[in-house]
Amino acid sequence: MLYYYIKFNSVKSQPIAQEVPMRKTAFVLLMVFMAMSMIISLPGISFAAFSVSVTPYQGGYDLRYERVSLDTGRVNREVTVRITSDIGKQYRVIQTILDPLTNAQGKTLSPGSFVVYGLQGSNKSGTLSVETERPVGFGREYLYTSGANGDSDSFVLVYGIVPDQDFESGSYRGRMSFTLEPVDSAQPPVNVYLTIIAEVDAQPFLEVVTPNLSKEIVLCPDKQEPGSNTVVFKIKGSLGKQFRIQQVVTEQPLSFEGGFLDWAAIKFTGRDNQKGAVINRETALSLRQEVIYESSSGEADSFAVDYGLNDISSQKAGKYRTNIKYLLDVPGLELKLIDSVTLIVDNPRVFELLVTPEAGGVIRFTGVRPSQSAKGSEVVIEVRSNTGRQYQVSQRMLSDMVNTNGDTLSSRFLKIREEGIDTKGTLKFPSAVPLAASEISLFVSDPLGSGDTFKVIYELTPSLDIKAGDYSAKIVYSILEL
Amino acid sequence: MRRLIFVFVCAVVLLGVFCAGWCQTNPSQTVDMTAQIQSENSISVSIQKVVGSVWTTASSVDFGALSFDPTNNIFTAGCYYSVDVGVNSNAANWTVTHTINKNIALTTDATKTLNDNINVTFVKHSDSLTPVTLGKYSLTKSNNKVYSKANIGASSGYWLRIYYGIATGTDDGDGAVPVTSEKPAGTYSGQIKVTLTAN
Repeated sequence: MLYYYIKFNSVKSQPIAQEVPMRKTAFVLLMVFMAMSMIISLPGISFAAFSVSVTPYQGGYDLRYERVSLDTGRVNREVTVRITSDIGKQYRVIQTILDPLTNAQGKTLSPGSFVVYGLQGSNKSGTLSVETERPVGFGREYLYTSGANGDSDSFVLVYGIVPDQDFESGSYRGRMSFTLEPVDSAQPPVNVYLTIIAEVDAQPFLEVVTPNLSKEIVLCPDKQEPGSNTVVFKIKGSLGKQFRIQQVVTEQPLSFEGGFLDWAAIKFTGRDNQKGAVINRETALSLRQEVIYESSSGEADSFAVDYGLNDISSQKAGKYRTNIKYLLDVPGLELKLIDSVTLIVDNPRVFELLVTPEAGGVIRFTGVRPSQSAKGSEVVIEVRSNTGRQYQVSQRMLSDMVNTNGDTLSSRFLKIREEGIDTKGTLKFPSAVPLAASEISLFVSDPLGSGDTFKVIYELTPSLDIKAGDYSAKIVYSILEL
Repeated sequence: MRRLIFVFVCAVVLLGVFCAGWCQTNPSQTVDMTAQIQSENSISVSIQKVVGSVWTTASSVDFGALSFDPTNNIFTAGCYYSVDVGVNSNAANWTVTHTINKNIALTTDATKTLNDNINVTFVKHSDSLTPVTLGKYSLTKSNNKVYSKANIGASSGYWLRIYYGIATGTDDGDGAVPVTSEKPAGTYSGQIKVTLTAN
């Protein structure tokens, strides 16, 4: 150490007005002298070495992940930590997350996605505490403890980002510190900081492709366009573990009018799976949670589920809707919603009348001799209706039965009766009566307006009072909602 | 102007709604009904022998041996015959013609006949109505008598009944006279024909 003695001689005879500038000049000179002396003497000062550096293997000052996605899978980056110490004391290296990896939307990578482990053998001495992989957690995490002598050392840390299906795209930034602190020493700790940058391309793990952008499946009983009833599942990345995809229907298909479509009306089955197992039997839609796919080991795959209709002619007309949700079922984790589609069943209004005379298009009595017994001719009447409204079937004879001579076949020789064929409604003429009136009601459906089938039997009773000739008339059958 | 446009638009919308409901036709289907009725023209004859009030079925008109009535000096029969002629025809019109196909003549002398001694009565019969006598003649005068559908009945349930009886001198038909003792004894036989003609 150097000591400087500075002596000021006082000059009492000088006026005070001149004394001030003299003192100021002396003070400045003194300061300059002291500074120069210190600079000159610096090489002679001795400092202790106690520092840490963190160097990404890929260069630069940041720990940078250019692209992480389910396609790329896990991405690792190495960081070399170097400690220089001559304090002769044991020291430790501690890792602390200062800012977790967060994107611009504030979304943080899920716990467990950012992991670290120390590369075994990368240190010369001391103990690497992270030889097994662990998530980079909050709080102080001891990475390394030197030997008792506190020798300089270095080690390599491997930081990995493991993508999962919860990833959201974005540029993630985070910051952590590495603290070098001595054990049992007053030496102040040393901190270095490392910024982490990760570009996450979060393509969905599983893409559900519907025939249209509106995520709707529209089923029609008549005009189903190819592919319009298919949902394609594309499992893009390997999940690394077995999983299942479940289908959940939120409610029974419901029309705007408030009517339900029978569960049995809709069926579904899977196909085109490559690796996993897909539901391969036609299954009726239900509230039951259905496993539609089960992976073998969680690898990428694709498959399709076709939705179709059974016979819905008996179902009330209308546009029925329900929502189908697809859930990812990974053992040990909560079910996660993948996607949902709207299932629409467009059941068009059917209100049809089919009249089928047994004699092929005509109610015919041929070769009738007056002396013969009564002859019959049948007509099968089928009503297809899904309107849900009660209806009636009526017939109207546009004219009497008249022959070419203008002779009329009296209605007393023509009788009508009806027979049911699995009939739910009410027949008006269960026994034969003369076909007197030109317009009559033949049948009234049940209150639900169910489709129905019945037989109308016309009986011609031959008589000498019926003049010979070819008689004809037209009968109009019609259905009418009540 | 805006108001007018608004009213017009409303009218169009209402008309559309009305038409939509109105145009929702109810399905119907028209089917032809035909009946081919064949012509039928036949005649049936049923013969009944009447003795007193007893009617028995017979196959021919056979008066048997006539009895001589010494009071009136005529020959009489103990029975008469009813012949029901049923017409099975669905023709628009038809006629039944009654003709003597062969004179009721003595087998040994064809010139000797009973044609004027037999009453022939034509009666319109039905199931429910009172019989109506259409005419009463001698066999001779009944020849070629024609009765139409209109005479007998336009519908089924009507038939022509013809009574044959030996004239008695009382209430006989036009031209009929009793058999007197002047008639030569012997067997008289002949043939009556009933013909249906459809037209």
